[in-house]
Amino acid sequence: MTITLYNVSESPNCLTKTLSSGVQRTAVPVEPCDFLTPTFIIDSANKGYNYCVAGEPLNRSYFINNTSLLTGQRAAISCSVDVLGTYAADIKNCVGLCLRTETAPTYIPDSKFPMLTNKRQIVLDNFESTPFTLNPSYPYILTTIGGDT
Amino acid sequence: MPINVNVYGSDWVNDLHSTAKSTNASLYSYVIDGVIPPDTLPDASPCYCGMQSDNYLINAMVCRADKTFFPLFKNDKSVNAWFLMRNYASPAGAPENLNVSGYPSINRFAKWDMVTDLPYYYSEYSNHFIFNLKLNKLLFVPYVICSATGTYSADLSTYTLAAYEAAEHISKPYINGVYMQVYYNNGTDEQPEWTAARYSTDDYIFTAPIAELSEDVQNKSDKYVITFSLISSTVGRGNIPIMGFGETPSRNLSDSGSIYNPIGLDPDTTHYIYDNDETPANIKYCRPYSESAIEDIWKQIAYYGVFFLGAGAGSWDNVSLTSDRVFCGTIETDGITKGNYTRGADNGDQQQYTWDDTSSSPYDPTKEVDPNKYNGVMNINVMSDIETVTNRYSLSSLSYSQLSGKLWEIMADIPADTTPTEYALDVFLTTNPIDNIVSLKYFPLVDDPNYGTGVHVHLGSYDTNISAYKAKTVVQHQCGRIKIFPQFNDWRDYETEIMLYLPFCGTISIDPKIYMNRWLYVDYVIDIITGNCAAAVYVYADNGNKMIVEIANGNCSIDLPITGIEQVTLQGQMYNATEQMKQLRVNNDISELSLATGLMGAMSSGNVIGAASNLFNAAGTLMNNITAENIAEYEIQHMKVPVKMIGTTGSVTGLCMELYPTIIYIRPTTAGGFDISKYGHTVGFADCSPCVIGTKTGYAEITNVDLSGFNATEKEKQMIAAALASGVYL
Repeated sequence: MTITLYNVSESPNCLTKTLSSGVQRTAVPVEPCDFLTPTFIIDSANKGYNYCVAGEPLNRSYFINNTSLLTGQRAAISCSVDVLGTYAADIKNCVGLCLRTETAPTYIPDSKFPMLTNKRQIVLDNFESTPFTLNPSYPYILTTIGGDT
Repeated sequence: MPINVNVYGSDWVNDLHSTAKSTNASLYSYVIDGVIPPDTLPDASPCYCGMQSDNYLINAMVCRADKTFFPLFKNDKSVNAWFLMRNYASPAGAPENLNVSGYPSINRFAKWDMVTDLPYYYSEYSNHFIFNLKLNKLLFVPYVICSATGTYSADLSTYTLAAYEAAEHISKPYINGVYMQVYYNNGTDEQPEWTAARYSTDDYIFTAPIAELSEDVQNKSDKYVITFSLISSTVGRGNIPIMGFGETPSRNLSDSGSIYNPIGLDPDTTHYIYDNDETPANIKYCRPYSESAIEDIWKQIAYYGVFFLGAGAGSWDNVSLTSDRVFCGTIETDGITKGNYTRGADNGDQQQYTWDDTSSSPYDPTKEVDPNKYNGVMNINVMSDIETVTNRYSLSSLSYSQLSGKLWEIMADIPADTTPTEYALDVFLTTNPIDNIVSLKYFPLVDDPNYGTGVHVHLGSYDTNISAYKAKTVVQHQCGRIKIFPQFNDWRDYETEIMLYLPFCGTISIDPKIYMNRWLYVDYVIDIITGNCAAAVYVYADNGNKMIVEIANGNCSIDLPITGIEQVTLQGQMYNATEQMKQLRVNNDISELSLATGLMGAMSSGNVIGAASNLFNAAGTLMNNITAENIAEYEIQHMKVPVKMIGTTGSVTGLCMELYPTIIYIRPTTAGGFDISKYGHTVGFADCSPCVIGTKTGYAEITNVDLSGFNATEKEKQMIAAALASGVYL
């Protein structure tokens, strides 16, 4: 079977990996070949990769978890399937409920947000006018009974 | 969609004709299948198939004038293209897709001859309807008839206050008519090219492609245009009249009638009068220019729920529907328009922006219409002064000090032939002048509580000659406004505690859910009689009306004690004491005389013991009298001055506190160095929105994913779901 070996730098939970400078090689799957966690025998000169894409019949993308050196300048690469990378295009078309997003904060209260409980920012703002003054011009109101004014 | 002939009948056009021509036709009596009960206003859209305005004028006018169409449209939203056009000869250049035999007129309903065949109410009101418009392809441009002769029109968007004050007030001083012309977008949404939707510059009716005729209509030989307006059109047959006043000498006076309905006015009563000595013969009513007049025009147009050019200067050939110059009448959730509008980018959020045409409206005429107008307002009333039996004077500090001294000498003017008591009763109606003072309060107010001209302080009928003013009953003061501005533009703004300190009234909590992004106003109302003060905290509701949200009460006056001698009492007491003293001295003399007389008597009779006894008795009495005299004299010299105090010392603590209303924000905060972008990248922000996963970018946690549509194994789909839920980078 043909596999293409890559070195990817993205996080494993990244949906799409940047696959560049791939090296295509013939790989012999070790029996029994598990679709999800296969092991391939390859030419050991091609060791040092961390990702591969397997063609038919697997048609999947894999993380290379471990490389074991064998005799005859061969290496055994143990892989686990990258479901995100394999089905990236299909996943993007799926509908789900987004609980958290990197897009700007929303108006949904966020219980994970590290707000301090022992500290608050306190600021003041005065209104521009007040009806009160310490120096009124006519401060005294005298109320009297009746009579002329 | 074609017209539903099951509802309207196969010969619906002729049916309309015959009904409309009937002089006995009336809205309330003409019923199709019991659709509209008698004496019930119809709920169907006055403007479009699928919209309704709650403006009673529009409804009323429509009801009165159009007695045929509402019943027909009430339950059928499938009506597509309702264009009834007059059967005139087609002018050159008529669009091919119109497939009509004549050009249309918006002034008239039917194929009848204009004047003679129509029932009179048609010629007076000329109401029309526009149906199933592609609103997001149309721009309605209002024009204002604003000259003295009524012939000059100004683009409403340029008829600004600044332009008016600069020059327009000379040639375009008054608003006596408003109409709209319709423009169609021949370009794209991003780069519109507005083309007048009418045949010619003579302003004949706008036509297709505003509405597309269904095949059913196209096949009819009699075709009519129906448009809606509040009034009859005397402003050109290619226009949609919005409002007008009186008669104008402009076009079509003779054949259109001149019934106007000024916006917001009862048509039978108040009209604005042309404010000019030289009243042009043809102008009877107009409205002076004002910003509120322009806003009224915007509101009226907004009832149509269309996109219209409301403001801004210069060419508008390529303005987009989300331009700041463009307004959009908003449609409420029940499909009703209420005269509200958005402007600029907000227009893109309105439902009309994405409609195919007006039949996309959610309005369902079978549903009960919300009868509420939601135009309530809460006002702070301006009170007039209340007359009472007491006099309230406003004194300056100087007058106050004069008053203090005056109280101590108030009885100095007693006429010589009058007793203090008589004088007091005559002048003060009481024996104690100080009883004329009800209270003295200190008010630390910026606004002088004075009204009227200067007066003298009177106690009873006694003129103290101290200058003062009459005091108001109430003083009101507007403290201004502060905008509760969001700091975070996210949920943290609503975790912010906000308090409002109100001098003399305490502190209240401000709910960010109500106030965020709104201007918060504070007005004080101060009762000068009692010193009570009320701080009204209000905002403006979405309908633009004032809404008082909080009222805090307190007392801002300080009661000041008044001291004064009880003058009459004192003088009376001194008089009595003096008289008593005199009597005692007389008594003592008599006593001495008695003593001597008794002794002599006793000795004369040889009654030595009796004489001695008498002597002792007389001496005792004398001693008693001398003692009483001494006591009386002591009391005179040490007489207590009777003092009376009016009121108690009020609290000054409020005056020592901050005197300006103050808003206090207590905002959530994070630790120093917190990088919110890193937080978003590694933890993400709470979202809770359904989505197509490919529309998200960056970090996301997604659950409840529908993984249908691709051939992964069950185990793999479980792995995918788990990965999405725990967080992925898209």
